[in-house]
Order: sequence, then structure tokens, then C-alpha cells
Amino acid sequence: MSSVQSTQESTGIARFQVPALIIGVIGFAVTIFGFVSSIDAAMHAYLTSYLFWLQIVAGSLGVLCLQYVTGGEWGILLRRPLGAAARTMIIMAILAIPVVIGAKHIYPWTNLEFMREDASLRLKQGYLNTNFWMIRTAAYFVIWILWAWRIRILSLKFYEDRSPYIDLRRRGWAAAGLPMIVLTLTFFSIDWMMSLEPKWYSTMYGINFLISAGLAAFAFCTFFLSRLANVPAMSNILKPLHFRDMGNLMLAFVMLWAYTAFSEFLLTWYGNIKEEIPHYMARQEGAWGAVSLALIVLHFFLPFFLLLIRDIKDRPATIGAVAIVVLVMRYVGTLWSVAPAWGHFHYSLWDAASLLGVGGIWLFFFIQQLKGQTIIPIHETWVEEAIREGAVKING
Amino acid sequence: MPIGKPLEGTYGVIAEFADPQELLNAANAAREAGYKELDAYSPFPIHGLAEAIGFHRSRLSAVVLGGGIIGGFSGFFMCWYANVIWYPLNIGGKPFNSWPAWIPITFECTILFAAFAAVFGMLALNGLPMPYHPVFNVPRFDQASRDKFFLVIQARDPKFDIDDVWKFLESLGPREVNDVPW
Repeated sequence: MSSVQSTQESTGIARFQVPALIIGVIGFAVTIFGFVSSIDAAMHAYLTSYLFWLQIVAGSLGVLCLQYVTGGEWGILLRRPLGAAARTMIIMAILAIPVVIGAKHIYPWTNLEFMREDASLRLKQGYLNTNFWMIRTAAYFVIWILWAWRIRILSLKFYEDRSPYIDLRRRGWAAAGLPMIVLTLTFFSIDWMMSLEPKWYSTMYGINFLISAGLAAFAFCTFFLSRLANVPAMSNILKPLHFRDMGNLMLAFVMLWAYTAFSEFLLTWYGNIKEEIPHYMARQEGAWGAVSLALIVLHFFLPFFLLLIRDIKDRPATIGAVAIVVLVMRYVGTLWSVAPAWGHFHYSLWDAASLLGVGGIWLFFFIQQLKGQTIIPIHETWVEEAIREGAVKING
Repeated sequence: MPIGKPLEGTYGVIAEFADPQELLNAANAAREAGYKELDAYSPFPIHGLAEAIGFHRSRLSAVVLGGGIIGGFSGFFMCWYANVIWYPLNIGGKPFNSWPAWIPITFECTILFAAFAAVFGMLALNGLPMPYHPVFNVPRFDQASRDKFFLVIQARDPKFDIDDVWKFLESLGPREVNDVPW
């Protein structure tokens, strides 16, 4: 098929690799300077930035598993970027080391004095202690890396001999990956985020983080493909209906995010229990109140209404812009989730530096993972149908 | 070959095709020839056929949006009116206008009204239920629910001239061409 042949041309993504690395290294160097000069503020900033990028990576693994299980045409063109992002989990595991080393500057439960003061916290010590936390953290990353690469290895085997048996095994791993990602991301969000406020708890927290990760991954991949739609080699493949599918799924994720985020708030607000409400009281006052309002308007209503409009979903330029709004708000949402635990709103140089530092280094490895293969998975079974699906002419 | 005069009360001219690709090609050819009032019938959905007969996006989405907005406001208004005006109760010391608690009702009413607007708006716009349709006057038309594919050029088309339409449809290689009387 001629359109498939043309995917062998260069997409020009590789030219972003070195600039990404340079920005990443500079950002990281500034962050390390922060670790030395004001360790607490820099650790807090680093955790926030790290969690933002991790959502894209972990979310990609989840959406990838979903795609291999369901096999919908919506996602066949997303498989390569999703897979590449999921495989960068190795670098995310390495980038997690500063958080693990500096845990005592981040998590109040690392302070044993603090834990012994309160009866409910004493009972939580069996779970919230540094050793067990480290073991769990290591387990999450081992599981995620294992899954991302297992699916990769099976894919490469499948491309060689196109054996349906290999395809079935890959789908088996993907199917098992769905409960895996739900459980690991739930516990990860409890360990790494919810435990910042050790007395507070919410059963909605895990699912909200899971959906946030899926949304971040989806927005990133949509943005990525929307940029590629202008590249000559890809412009005859990526068509309006592809972007409409991605826009519709992004809309579903935006709505699910709002649903879980609001449910969490409503139950806490209505229950009005002393242990639960401080979480939201801290987020209603001052600058955090403004951030909360921004989340409601820009993380939900704006993308929601924009993604209802077909003309916006069908055009790469506009859907790419919506994806950027979603990604920016996902960063703000991550900040909103973790940073109020450390007090009033304060955005420091370390926040910006670590955001660029982790992001630049991650982007370098993401592009590295994409290299040496076509962006369109030309060996997959339904890929030609998926390409044709988007090319249907749209009237009116 | 019965090329008749334009009959009083002709709905259109129908052509029968043996496979979906022929129908698709015929529909594209008819649209390109300048015919606008086309309709096509097939036992199963054919990808691209709606576009080929010049199907335009309907106003249904606007109707659904309107239904959703009305539903959202009514749901919120209902809660607010009941709890603030009509029967104010102090529940756990909360303000009468406990708006976060109204959101689930508001949301559900938005969905409900939007769904109603979608169903009834769809029926209003496509004219269903339709107890009588002239295409059923063509004896072979019942094949449309089995294995034959039909294209109709309607008489209300501005370009409609029964002789030209007959000739045009026959040039597309149909199995059969028929008038569709009212």
C-alpha cells in the first residue's frame, strides 16, 4: 500500500532530541543546585514535576494495554507513541531516585516523632514506614517496566512471523495489564501523593489519579500526532476522523476526571468530618482557591465544550491546542494535589527547573524509543483499515 | 423500454444495483452529475454512502445541546427551589443553598433532557415514524432488506427531468430502473 510505504520517510522528530536533552540537563543541574541550597523547596518541586511526567508514562502503559485488549481502530495509530512512552519507564525509575533518597524532606510520616503523637497515625505505621514504602515503590517500577517491555518483545516477535499465537499472548499480557495498572497506580498514588497528608484519606483518590494518568497520556499522544499531521510523510495518513476519535476519547477522559474529582469533593463536603475536610479547606483559601477555580474552568469546562465541537476535533491544529491545554492543566492539577500539603501557594524557580529538567530528559528517551521504526505500526493486523477509516470524506 | 412522460405525482426514479460498490459508485456519479435530492437503500450500512449521497450534518446536535442546557438549568432550579424557597430545612448546619449537593441532580437532568432531545429531535428531523413511503410501490424494493442496493433520484430535485434521469441511471449499469409513483 502506497500510503504505508511513505511512512518510511523521515518525520523529523529526531531533530528535537538534542535540544530536549540540553534543556533537560540544564533544568536538572539547576534542580540539583536547589537540592544543595534549599533542599525542602527543591524536593517538593521535584516531586510535583516528576509526578506530572510519570502520569504520561504510566498512563501510556495503561492506554496501551487497553488498546491491545480492545484492538479498536481508534488506537492503532497511537500504539507506537504509547509504547515508546511506556518503555521510558526505565528512565522514570532512575529519575525517581532523588525522591526516594530525599523522602524525609517530603513525607511527614518519615518523621517517627510525628507519627507517635497521633493515635490514628500510630496505627498507620505498619504501612507508612520508609522501608515498606521503598519496597512498594521498587515493586511498582519493576512491574511497570516488565509489562512495557514484555509487550514490546512480543510485538517485535509478532512483526517477524505474524503468528496469531504471539498476538494472542500479547493480548493476554495486555488484558492482565489492566487490573495490574489499576492496582499499581492506585497504591502508587496513595504512597506517593495521598500520604503527604497522612491523616487524610479518600477512596476516590486512586481512581482519580488513574484517570488523570490516562488523560495525560492521551493528551500527549494526541498532541504528538497532531504535530506529525503537518509532516509531508504523514499528512496523507493522519486524517480528520482519526483526530475526531482521539478527541472523543480525550473528551471521555476529561469527563471521567471531572466526575471522580467532583465526587471526591462532594462526599467530603457533605460528610463534613473533621479528618477529611482539612484537605479541601487548604485548597479553598487564598491562591489555592484560585487554582481550584482554574481547575474547574480550564481542566473541565473549557476542554469539555471545545471537545464537543467537531470542527475542533477534526483539525490537527485545534485538537493539538486543546491537548496542550489539557496537559498544562494536568500539571496544575498535579501541583494542586500535592503542593498544598506544604502550605501556601508558592511557585519557585525549582518548580520550573525540575519541570523542564525531568521533561527534557524524558523527551530525549521518548524520542530515542521511537527511533528505528515507523510511527505507523505497519506490521499490525488492522493498520490499513485504521488508516482508511480516517480518510473518509466529510461533508458539511 | 418504457420511457414515459413525467407522470403527475412521480416520487422519483429508482435504480437497482447488485452490490454495494456499484451503489456507492452510482451515488457518487449522481452527486457529481449535479443531482442533490438523492436517497439510497441497502440491507446494511455502507461506509461512505451517506457522504456519497451528499448527506449533510443535521441540526440534531444543536437540538441535543439545547435539551442538555435546559435540563441542567431545570435540575438545578428544582433543587434550589425545593430547598431554599419551598421547604427550607437545616440539614447538619449546612446552608440552604447547598449547591455542591445539587450537582448530581443537575448532571443527571442534563443527560436525561439531552437524551430526550436526541430521541425526539431525531424523530422530528427524519420524519419517523413514516407509515407510508412511495418506494414500497416498487415491487422489487423488498429486496433492499435482502441483497439488493437501490438509488433514488427524487422528483423534487431541481435538475429532475424524468427522461434525463432514466437515461442517466441506465448509464450507470443498474440491474433495473423503475419509476416510483406516489
